[in-house]
Amino acid sequence: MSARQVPKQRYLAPKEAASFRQVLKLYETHQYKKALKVADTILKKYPEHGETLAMKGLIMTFTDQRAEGHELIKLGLRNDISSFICWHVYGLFNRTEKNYEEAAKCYQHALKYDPENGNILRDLALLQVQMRNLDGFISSRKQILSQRPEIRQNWTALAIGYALVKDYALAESILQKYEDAMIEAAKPDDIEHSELLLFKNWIIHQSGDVKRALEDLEKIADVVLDKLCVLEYRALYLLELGRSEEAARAYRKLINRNPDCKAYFEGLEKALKVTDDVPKRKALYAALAKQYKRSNVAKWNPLVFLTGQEFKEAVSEYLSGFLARGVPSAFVNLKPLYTDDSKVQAIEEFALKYLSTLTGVASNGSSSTSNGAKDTAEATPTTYLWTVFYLAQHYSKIGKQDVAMEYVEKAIAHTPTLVEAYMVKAKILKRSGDLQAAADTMNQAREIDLQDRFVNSKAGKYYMRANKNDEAVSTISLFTKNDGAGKGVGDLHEMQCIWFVTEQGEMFARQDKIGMALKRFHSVKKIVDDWWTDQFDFHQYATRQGTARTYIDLIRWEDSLYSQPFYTRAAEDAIKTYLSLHDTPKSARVAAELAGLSEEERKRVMKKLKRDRAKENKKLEAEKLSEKDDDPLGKNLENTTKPLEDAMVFYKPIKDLEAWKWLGEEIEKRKNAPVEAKTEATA
Amino acid sequence: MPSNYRISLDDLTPNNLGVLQRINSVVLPTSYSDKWYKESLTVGELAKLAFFNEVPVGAIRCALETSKESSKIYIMTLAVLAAYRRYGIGRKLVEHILEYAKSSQVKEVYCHVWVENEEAMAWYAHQGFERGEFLKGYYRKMEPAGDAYIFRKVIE
Repeated sequence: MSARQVPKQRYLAPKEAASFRQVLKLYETHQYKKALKVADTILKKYPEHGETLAMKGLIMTFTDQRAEGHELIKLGLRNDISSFICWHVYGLFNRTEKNYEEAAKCYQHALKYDPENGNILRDLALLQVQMRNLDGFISSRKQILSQRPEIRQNWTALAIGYALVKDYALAESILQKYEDAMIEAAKPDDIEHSELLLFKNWIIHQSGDVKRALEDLEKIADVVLDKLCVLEYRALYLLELGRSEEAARAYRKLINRNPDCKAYFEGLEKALKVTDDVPKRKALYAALAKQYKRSNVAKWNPLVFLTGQEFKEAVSEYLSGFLARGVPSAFVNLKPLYTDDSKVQAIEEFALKYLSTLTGVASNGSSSTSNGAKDTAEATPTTYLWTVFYLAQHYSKIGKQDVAMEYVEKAIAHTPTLVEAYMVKAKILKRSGDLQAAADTMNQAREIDLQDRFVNSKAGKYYMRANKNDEAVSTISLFTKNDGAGKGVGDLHEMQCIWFVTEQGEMFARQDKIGMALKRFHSVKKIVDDWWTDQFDFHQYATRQGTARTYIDLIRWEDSLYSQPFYTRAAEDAIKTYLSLHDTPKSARVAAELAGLSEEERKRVMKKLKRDRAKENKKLEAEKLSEKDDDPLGKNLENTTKPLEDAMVFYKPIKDLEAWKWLGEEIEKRKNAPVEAKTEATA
Repeated sequence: MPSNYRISLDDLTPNNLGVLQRINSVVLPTSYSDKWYKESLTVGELAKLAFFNEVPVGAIRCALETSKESSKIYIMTLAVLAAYRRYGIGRKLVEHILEYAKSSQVKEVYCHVWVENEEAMAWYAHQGFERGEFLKGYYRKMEPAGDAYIFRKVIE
């Protein structure tokens, strides 16, 4: 570019122009201190130079001078509004601020002044897919591809774009064109090439042309490195094409590789068309269970479709095996069957009968194996233990907490060292409504095995359910680093431990510590928001590594992120809290407490309230999430003047979900309510 | 006999100290102080837990007594949950101690048994322990004070 084309405000003498190029280079190699020095030498001579100011600002944002950097970036842009560098810099800044919409606008401005700039186009494409502006993404990737068609990932990226909008024909043709144009043959261990072939095959299948997908699969099968995937795709395609015998063979091969994968068994059932034919289905599983003795799926699946006497026999065999071997998770395995009352009945009958054969090892150390009954010859004390343990969980599940308690006490009397027994006892107490006793019992379980983090977490949770924050925090802090502020609470935030943050928020809400509760609910949202932004790195990574199929899975998972219970639960909590803040503002709550008191009493109550609160607040100050946390009690959140707008922040990500429409209606109802009515009501 | 159970021993650690506490408190008539339990962590091989099918059901805790002439191991507590007796768990715990004694040149392993506890006396005799001195009123805290025999096994 010759000097005469350069606008006046951008002109630099040759020496400074060289310095500027140096700044860019130093920035790219992360040598920020040096870069700043060089930038300052330019600014000595050209203090108004926009591009240098912008670069200096950008670098400052990397050296802990964010605010000043931001100002310089803006100043630079003002001084040279037609510079693509200034716009790119501002875009980068917005991107680090996670303000993706603004960033995309900046990039588009930058491209106006330098339409062929590949770096900016690529950055723009990343933002577009992050914001799910897929049309924009496709058009950017098209441009990039036309500039650099020799790079494989440019083809993959465009094909991904088409796949994301479900235009499979175009996606396939892009990949086909690349293959046709490929000059060098791929090396045998080229994983990217292998993934690309599978991606194309997946696309053909997605397009609905199963026959061609199968043909393609056979063509690439030898080259593809992911052999398991070929087997799985083949089995599925054969099944969909109605080539049952071959499909059955393919699924048997898969089961042989992994006899604990449910999907393979389902595939085999479909291929053999036995799903609606109980006798055949039963025979199939009997054979499979015999062949794969260690497979739980082969034993478990029949429990779902068998009924009546056949179920009784099957479940007896299944459960007695578990009880004799002492598998603590026996109940967890059978729990899904508890939606069927007749099955529950059958299980109960069997377990009670089984228990009655175990009297020899039941009581505390009385008789030896002299019972004589055949069944007891092999029974050991732990068989008895796990059987009463099972019954305790069984009765608790079906709502008979008293009976459940009898059985769990039997287990504890028999073996007072079994952690699991105390845990079940705690659960029974919780279900009976005695939250304090439940927490104490869970803590007893914890004390038997201090290194078990699962029971430690449970104890923490049970304490929170009993509104015991101190106990909860000191318990869970036994497993956290605790070198920052706020003991384990800060650590668990950093570790994105959603269950803990949610439980604590709900506890604070029950205790009417509104600020603290809101603070936790916001933390949950922040964690989920972080997961949403975390995908940013993968937009680039996936095309570089060629892992397109996994990437598309990730994108679809991210799309469902906010509909998952870990978010919706906290969102519901937060919205309800904000609604109650709207319905009963703080002043009204205080007024209600003082209503009907004499002046003197009122003073006394206020004084006591103040004292209590100061005490409480001091304690909660210890709950700072980090050194920078300047509102550990969430006062700013609680003192909001616009609770409905705040509620909307939580509602927005779930507004299109049918199940949560009612929450939106609750907010709307209040928004539309005439203000006068409210003031009258509280007056 | 086809065994459908496994017995194994494991070390006492700060994390499972609660198990020793629970077993002793359920099985033994005397109670021990927190200090005593904390000290149990310092005796190494002289404190062990026993597991039956992975469930902790028994424990032994001894002390090494050294003097100028010889050193002895004193079995302070040996307990197996009632439901798990007659499976050889106690024997396995004591055998461990006897082996340890042998490997560390300890000449004698001994304990006290309450004279009324016929079962325990027979058990120790069965393990090859010999009945020794009669100690009148050894169990002072009992009402009335209980007498004890010493049971000892000399290590060759």
